Amino acid sequence: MSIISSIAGLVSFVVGLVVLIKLFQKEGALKGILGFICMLYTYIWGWRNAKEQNLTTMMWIWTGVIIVSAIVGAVAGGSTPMPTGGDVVPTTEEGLRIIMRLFA
Amino acid sequence: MQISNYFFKPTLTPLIEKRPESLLMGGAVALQFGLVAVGLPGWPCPFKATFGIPCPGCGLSTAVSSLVHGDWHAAITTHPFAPIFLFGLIFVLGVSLLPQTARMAVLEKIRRFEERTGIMAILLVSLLVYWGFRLIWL
Repeated sequence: MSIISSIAGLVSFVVGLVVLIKLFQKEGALKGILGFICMLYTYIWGWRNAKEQNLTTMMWIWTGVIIVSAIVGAVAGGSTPMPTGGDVVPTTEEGLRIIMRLFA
Repeated sequence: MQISNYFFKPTLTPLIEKRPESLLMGGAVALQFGLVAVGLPGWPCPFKATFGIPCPGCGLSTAVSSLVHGDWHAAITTHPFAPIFLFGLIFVLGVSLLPQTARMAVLEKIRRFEERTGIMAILLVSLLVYWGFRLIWL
């Protein structure tokens, strides 16, 4: 699982970097920094400008890798949050229980 | 282009100028925070996955989750920019949902504020500086 996760992470990084470079070139330094801080912005920008910037294949690869990472992450035990001062972030099991309660 | 032009160039306004785009961005970020808050896997950071070190934004989802749970101490120790990001998210979503005329008026005010203060540049550069400190000392 960790090998798949590592490969997915590496592919995601390389594709993300390509899109980020295009973002820097087209939108300037500030939005580029914003894209580096929040890769989610880079991803959405990439899809919105996929045709214009010739990024369609890259974006499909990135999307596939994200889905694989999410599946591997879910199977391997959910998110790995940054260490916090208090134990406020629930585990995957607790999270699923919360969602089940919402739909019950 | 001079560096001051970059510094005072509006960055937030173009992001929220188009309603569908700002709703999509705000919704995606809110979804990420929500997934992490209930302990489900959210957006995996490609930078951390590759290098094993956090990117400037790593920990923000967890910190915002702590903030929503009312744990300010955990939020600030995880990522001190969490309150600003949460405020920003609520603001972006709020502005996106305003009626068109009110939205345009607010956007004009934000644009002028950005051009006058360079607030986005200050925030982004501060975040990068904080990241440097975090990598070296924390």
